[in-house]
Amino acid sequence: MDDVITKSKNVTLLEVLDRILNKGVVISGDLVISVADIDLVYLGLKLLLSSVETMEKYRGAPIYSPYQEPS
Amino acid sequence: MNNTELIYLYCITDKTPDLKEMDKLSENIFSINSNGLYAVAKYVPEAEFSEENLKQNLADMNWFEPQVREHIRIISEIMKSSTVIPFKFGIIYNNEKNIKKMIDNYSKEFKENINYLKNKEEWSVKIYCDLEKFNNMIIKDNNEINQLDNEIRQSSPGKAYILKKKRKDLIIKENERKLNEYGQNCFNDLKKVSDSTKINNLLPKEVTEKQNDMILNSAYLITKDKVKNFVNIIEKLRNIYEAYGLEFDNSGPWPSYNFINIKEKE
Repeated sequence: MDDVITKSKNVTLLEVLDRILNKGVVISGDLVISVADIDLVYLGLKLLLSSVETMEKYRGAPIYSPYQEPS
Repeated sequence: MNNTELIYLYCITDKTPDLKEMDKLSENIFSINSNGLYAVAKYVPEAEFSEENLKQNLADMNWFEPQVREHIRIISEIMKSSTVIPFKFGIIYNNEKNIKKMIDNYSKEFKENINYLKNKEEWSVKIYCDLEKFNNMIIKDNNEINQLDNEIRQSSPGKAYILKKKRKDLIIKENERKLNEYGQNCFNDLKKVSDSTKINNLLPKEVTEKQNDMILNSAYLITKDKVKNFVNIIEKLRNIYEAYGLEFDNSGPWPSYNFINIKEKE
């Protein structure tokens, strides 16, 4: 099943960013890029946000999934 | 021009990475070994990756997109022959010594995670919904709504007005109830063959660039020999719910970004 990611046309930049910017190990390196910078890029991709207010709108109101993990 | 080099870290793995294969993907990739673990890393120019320069480059999509793609490609390549702990984008170290120190500091956690992730794959399923199509199907399926339609046809204008309001409220309620039910059913079916699952926040249309709304953003950790089974379940769900306007976007295997459990130490 290998190579699905690299070959599939369906894998959008969004899928990649959804992981490599938001998930993964939270150990920082020697240099620190602030999360805000990354958020801006992430949203900027599709929104071309020019104002911080618009970004705050998205960050302040995350859309939670309606489904629950059955415990 | 500043020629100083920094080190960009991709992932930690439990086997010596095949750097010959890596060379085809990118130059300057090397590994740092400590404590039975290997960090896969690359020398990068400070001119591009220093804090100040990186910040500027992040705003440039022509620079950023290839970097992002390369990040995931390199980790995916390593993943073919070993278990990996994937790192976020843009984790930079000043020198090898500091990476070694970090590996040693976290070696217990890395090994525990690698042990757990061994022989498993992360898969992503995003479900989108054509809400209009869904709405039409709900109306078609629902007896109560159909009865109301009949009543409305036979009622005086005054009564019909009240019934129409009732019909509208009922449709909203049913839509929500059914969307919850179907989304949850899909998730539960996929969960059955998974070792672990993760429901993530929904992403707005502005970001997904899809016509339809995202209704489920989920990740699954699956033992390799069950992946075929998992993909079959998605096909089955796709067949069942296509008529309702549900669209399934599945991809994988991904580095296990959603199932790493390591907390940063003070």
